[in-house]
Amino acid sequence: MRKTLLFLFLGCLLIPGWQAFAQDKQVSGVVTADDGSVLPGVNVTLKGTTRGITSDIDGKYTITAPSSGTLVFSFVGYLSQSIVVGSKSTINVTLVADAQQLGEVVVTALGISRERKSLGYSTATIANTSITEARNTSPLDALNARVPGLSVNTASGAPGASTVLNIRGFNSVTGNNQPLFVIDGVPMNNRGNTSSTNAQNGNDDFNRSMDFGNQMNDINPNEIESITVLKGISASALYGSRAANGAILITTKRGKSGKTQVDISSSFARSQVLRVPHLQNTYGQGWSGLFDRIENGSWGPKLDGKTRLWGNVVDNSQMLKPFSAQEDNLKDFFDKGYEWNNSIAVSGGTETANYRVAYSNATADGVVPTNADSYKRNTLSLNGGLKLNKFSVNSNINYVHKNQKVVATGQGDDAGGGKVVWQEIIQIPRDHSIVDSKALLDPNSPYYKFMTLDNYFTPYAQNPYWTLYNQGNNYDEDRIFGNIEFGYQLLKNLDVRYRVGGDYSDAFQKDWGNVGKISDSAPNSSANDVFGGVSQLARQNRQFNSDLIFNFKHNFGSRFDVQAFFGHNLNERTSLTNFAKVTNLDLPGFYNLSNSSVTPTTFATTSKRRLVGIYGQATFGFDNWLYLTVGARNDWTSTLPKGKNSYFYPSASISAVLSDVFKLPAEIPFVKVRFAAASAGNDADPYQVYSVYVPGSVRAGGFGNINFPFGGLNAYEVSNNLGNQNLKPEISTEYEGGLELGFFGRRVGLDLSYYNKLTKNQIISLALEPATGATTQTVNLGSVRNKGVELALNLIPVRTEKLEWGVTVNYNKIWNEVESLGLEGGSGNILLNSSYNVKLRAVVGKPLGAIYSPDVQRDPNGNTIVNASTGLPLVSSEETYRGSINPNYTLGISTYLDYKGFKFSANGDYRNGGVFYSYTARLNYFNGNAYMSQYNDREPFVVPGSVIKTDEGYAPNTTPVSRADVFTYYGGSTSANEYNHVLPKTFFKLRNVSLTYSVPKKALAKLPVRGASVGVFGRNLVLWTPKGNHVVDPEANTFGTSLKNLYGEFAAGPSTATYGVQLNLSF
Amino acid sequence: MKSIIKNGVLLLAALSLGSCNDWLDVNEDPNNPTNVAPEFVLPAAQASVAGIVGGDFAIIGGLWSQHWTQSNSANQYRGIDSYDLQPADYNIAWTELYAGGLNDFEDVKRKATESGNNNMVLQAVAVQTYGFQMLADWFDKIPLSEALQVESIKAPKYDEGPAVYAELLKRLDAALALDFNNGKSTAVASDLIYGGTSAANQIDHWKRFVNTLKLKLYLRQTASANSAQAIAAIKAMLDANTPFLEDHAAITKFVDEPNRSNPLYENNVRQLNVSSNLRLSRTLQTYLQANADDARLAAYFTPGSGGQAGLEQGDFLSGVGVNVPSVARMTATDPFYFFSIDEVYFMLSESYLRTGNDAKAKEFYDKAVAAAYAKFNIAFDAKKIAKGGVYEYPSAGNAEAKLKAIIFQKWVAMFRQGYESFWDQARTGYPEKSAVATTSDNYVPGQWTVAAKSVLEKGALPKRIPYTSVSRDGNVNTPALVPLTSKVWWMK
Repeated sequence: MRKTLLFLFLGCLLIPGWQAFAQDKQVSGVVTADDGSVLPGVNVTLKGTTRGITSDIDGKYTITAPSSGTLVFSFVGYLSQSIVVGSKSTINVTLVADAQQLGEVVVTALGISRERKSLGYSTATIANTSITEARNTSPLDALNARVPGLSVNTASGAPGASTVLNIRGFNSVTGNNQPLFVIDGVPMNNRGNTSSTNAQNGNDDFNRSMDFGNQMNDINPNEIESITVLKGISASALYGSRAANGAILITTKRGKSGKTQVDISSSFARSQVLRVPHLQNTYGQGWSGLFDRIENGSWGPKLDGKTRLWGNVVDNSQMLKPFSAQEDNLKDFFDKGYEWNNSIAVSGGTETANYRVAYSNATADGVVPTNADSYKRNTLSLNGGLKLNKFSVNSNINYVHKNQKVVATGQGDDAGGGKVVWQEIIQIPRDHSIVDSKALLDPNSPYYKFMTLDNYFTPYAQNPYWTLYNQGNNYDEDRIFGNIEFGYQLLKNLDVRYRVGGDYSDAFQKDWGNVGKISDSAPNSSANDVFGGVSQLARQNRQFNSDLIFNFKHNFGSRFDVQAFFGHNLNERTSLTNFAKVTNLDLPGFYNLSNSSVTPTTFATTSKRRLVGIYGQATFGFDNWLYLTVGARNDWTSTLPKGKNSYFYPSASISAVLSDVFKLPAEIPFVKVRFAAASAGNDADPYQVYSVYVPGSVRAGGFGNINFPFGGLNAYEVSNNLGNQNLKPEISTEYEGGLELGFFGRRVGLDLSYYNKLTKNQIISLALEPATGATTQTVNLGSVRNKGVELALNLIPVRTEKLEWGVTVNYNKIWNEVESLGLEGGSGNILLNSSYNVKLRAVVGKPLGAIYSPDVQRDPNGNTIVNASTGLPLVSSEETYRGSINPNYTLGISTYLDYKGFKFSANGDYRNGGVFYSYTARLNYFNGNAYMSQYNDREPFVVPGSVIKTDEGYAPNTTPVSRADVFTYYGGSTSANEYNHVLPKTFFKLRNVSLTYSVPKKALAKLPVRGASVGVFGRNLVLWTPKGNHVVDPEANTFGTSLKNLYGEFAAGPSTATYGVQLNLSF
Repeated sequence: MKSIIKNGVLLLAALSLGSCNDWLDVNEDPNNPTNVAPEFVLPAAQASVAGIVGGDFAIIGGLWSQHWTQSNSANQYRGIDSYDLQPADYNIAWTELYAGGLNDFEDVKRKATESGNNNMVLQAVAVQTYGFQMLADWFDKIPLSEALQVESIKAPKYDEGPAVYAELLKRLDAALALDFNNGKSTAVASDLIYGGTSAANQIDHWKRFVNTLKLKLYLRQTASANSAQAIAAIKAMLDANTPFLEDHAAITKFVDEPNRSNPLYENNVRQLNVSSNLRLSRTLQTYLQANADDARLAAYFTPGSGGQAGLEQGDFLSGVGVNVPSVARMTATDPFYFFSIDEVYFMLSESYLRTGNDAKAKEFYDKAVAAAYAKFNIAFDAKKIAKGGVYEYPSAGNAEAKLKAIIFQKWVAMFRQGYESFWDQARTGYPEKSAVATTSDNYVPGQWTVAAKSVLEKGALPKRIPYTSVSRDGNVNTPALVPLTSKVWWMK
């Protein structure tokens, strides 16, 4: 029965498509660029058919075509040309470079190529040259400031740090907000590897947190042909659930027909600290205005340059230091880092077969002394394709091995792995030279004895070199991903493709910290012992994906054409985690799970989710200027309740190239308008439907647990997460309109988009009243709206034969609002994260990701109300809204200058508005290092504009904050100080600068070298922040890869600037 | 064309969905069991109550009953020791008890009832009720009748304090009335307190536990409007020779390793970056020294460099040197007492006193004081309670004097179980509240002072913990905040 159906069904398709061309003949020619060079790899297709080839290395092509046919020549970066064959048998074509790339063929969802002008939605394509010009080791970092609406955030300057991408704002309150990543049509894993000692499962806790990057950063940028960003749902919906947040499509390089080609590219760069906190340099070691030889803070007297005895007395001796500022003591702690990127690729092919083999190596060591922050990556990729008459096969296999070490951030863990370097050095008094503590490494040094744990100058901190040399971690990952695609031309108008892909990775992570015991009689005996610990984490991720796609293309007469496809998708994702940890190491310096008498903490989890989808889409073209596209997808997921796990979502878009219809002035050669509407569903995480029992682990109050097995017994508890058998999919709906314009010989291009997107039935982990017996349940609640404007302006102010100068400006603004949370009766908001009293919340009427903090009490005029007897501000019991974690708007600017083989390019971005939490600021205020803590020379002062409460109302305050209370004012326990830990997020960063010289072809004529270029580059060379932020790079974050990523930092390491040289050769 | 798409979609659906439903049936959590026998849940539930009572509640109990005070060189408990509690401060306790232990006991109760193991039902009711009473005593009103029914009630109402007490007593009586000879009430080896004995022995112990708990619930009401009924109920229990506990009811299986230690030690020492937050309060110091009880002082506190020295209660900004005030002693392997035997004897002594049996009151007082020393392995000199001894039972005095003696001794004995003496003081007024600081010449040793940095109105002691924000965030029925000085319904 099924067979009959299939035939019937295929029959339906055949009838209208039964048309054939007669009298084909051979047509050949050479394709050249407008600069005279030959163009290899140009797509030459016979219009209305799927027949096509690419030009060879010398730009030559041969194709069979009927006289009535039209050949279309298209190539990325050039305007397409259509030429009627007629009687000609040789057609030589010169393609004109197109800065706007409006005529290009772009890759859309599921690997389907379409003409850009037929698209009813906004996409952006970034070519390889932009991705590799500044030699980023991470391909995602290279996307920074390139695409309006795409936000890129890099966690830190450490090699291999995470990059979090977000398209068109945050949609999901507690779910995933990252786009789907797709390589050659196959969805990829992008697991984040942020973890900490306390986190059970890659959670974003802030105790000794470690960022081992996200998986999509491990792709070799050199092997990327282009990256296409599908921003709206209408663009990405056919990928199903996971593309509700947009999709990033990566197309890898393939071999081209022609001679074997070898490409070598190599770069070397140095990196250095870009931003460390800008601290005060006026006051030195001490507290409450008095010098204190063992205090770890700068609340002491004014630095006077006089020599002082300080630190502990050891063997009747003590150290001396000049009481003067060590202005660069933080910077001096750091080294210069380096990074090597080398790759080699061999490619070639014939008209029927092609291959490409590439190997790359990236080695980097970050700015922290030793190799404690380092990154090594080796990749090997194999690409091959074969075309045999109607049958074709393409395959792509990649292997990645990565080894990474990172320096932990956040707070220390004395009960386990120990303290955290950054937290230790950032609190050091301003007059203390941190590098002097290095004497710890040299037992022969006369200062050695002052640097040991027992005798270090303060019991409130650990010698950072001890921390650095007695801790470590190692992350190893092996990954294989790839796909194989079979194609068969069933009929002239109909082909079928079957694509199966997988992404398999195994990762092993180990973290350790030594025992740091302090002798009972030591000067620092009041400091905590560090118990030492070892943890091991093994992770496995598997993704299998299969797509069966039928493609249909047909021209009805000369004015109508149809391009349609439908398909079937299977997707399975599994993961496995094994974790073991021991603390209280017995043998110092031996890091093995066996080295402890305490019961290990262990857990093992596996997870599996499956999805079946069917989808279809059809584009109807009229007269090559009007296009209507309709599509739909239905998914069945394993993660929603049985019987309620199916959801359907349609999409539609219209594109009209008005300039092809209406006579427009010659200055405006191109006008396109587009409109799209689409929806997409999103399923839940696995295992949210049924209630379970979990291993017994109970709290002992604020700190510590009682964990089972205990007393020889194992135990389970009723899980506090209640199952939900009524869970529904989360649905996003988006409307998008756009306008694309080209002026003045298309030297001015404008692309404007407006969208309005609503995500309803948010899948949220809702907090319940614990007295119900459960604390959370995954439910459908609330809606979030994102509206936005994206503008891309391309200018080529100068274009002569020798010189071309281009500028691109991207502007992006998002209006983001939580419209409802469905929590009427509760607190009306969802707490997403908190650090001390600063909270990240989802609140109705506010942007998703609203930061709240305590504030002082204020009178109706906004004046600070102070305590009449101490002069200190009173704390308001209400928390104050401080702003959104999203910027107000972002501006990306890039420019290039081409002159005789020299190419200079630069890009940067400016982000305006938004706020973030900074724990580093908190520490600076607490220990008196903060630049802002110098008001009135730290002498008693009346809080400016302060008032006191009187029976009649308010009266001006005259009571000064006393000398002893100056610390309390800035860093004491009154929680209104936390107002100062929320900083403005505005910044400008110069992302990339590069200067490349390509050796002219003529000069290479006699050499075996076909192409050569050399260049210099720099990344993140400049960071500007406004006065309100003296502290950290606003991009720094330590909160993983979810929405919280933009919340801020918890003692994050510094960001870095990088500069280097590169060489590229082709043989 | 659209019909083609539609047909195609239907066809593909038909092709894929036949086997699709089975293929998609993978959403049962492989990492966590969906059904667990109640004997595996019972110990986690018991540990949960022990964790919070022995951890968070022991800390505030010791601070508010002036055994110990916040160190002047650290700041972990400044909020508690200045009576400056925020609604979020006891979120963990509220969550761990309700969604942890009490809810787990509910599960045990349900499954044990189904299987007819009334021994296990009794155990679950006993410690669950113990936990509910702790919550009721800290918070006054708590969810009870509508609590722990998450499938049907997401916003449980708070029951009035007297109703909570009445319901808890009813539940205990119902559990005691179960048929333990039904052939299904087998021994429960996983019981952390009395596991490993015969069923009969275990049932006997748990009945004694429940009787003792009933006695505690009645005693708590002696200053309330329910006083007469409560005392009558106590008398009825005593007259009926009701069996009470004859030894500590305790968890003793703690070991010296992370997350398997005594919760007070784990909370206050191991997991904290400063392990000396809790220092000797001058209130307790003056009393013990006035009674030459240096042995007990030494058992409770590690002296600083200058010998035993206390800090005025709540005077955490004092300039006294860092190493001076003595640090509270606690170890990883200290037992957690649901009831310590001295506590039981003190309760019985008070019960006999209130029901007019003075001889028995003295007998249990003497046993209680001796047991209080034994609990901390301190050699007990019987002369202390003999005629003329510092802790002699005031047989010649009136009932009030006798009550004062019992409660004072109980206060000194309840070190690390300070919540009980805090509530005794709120119920009986002993130790009395001092109008002056311990440094004053007029100060009477042992009288409670108001914390030096109190944020409450002058002269006031705290009476309760504020309703939690974690409750309010999810429950419209959470009552409005009431001042910390508002009495819990049964307080004097």
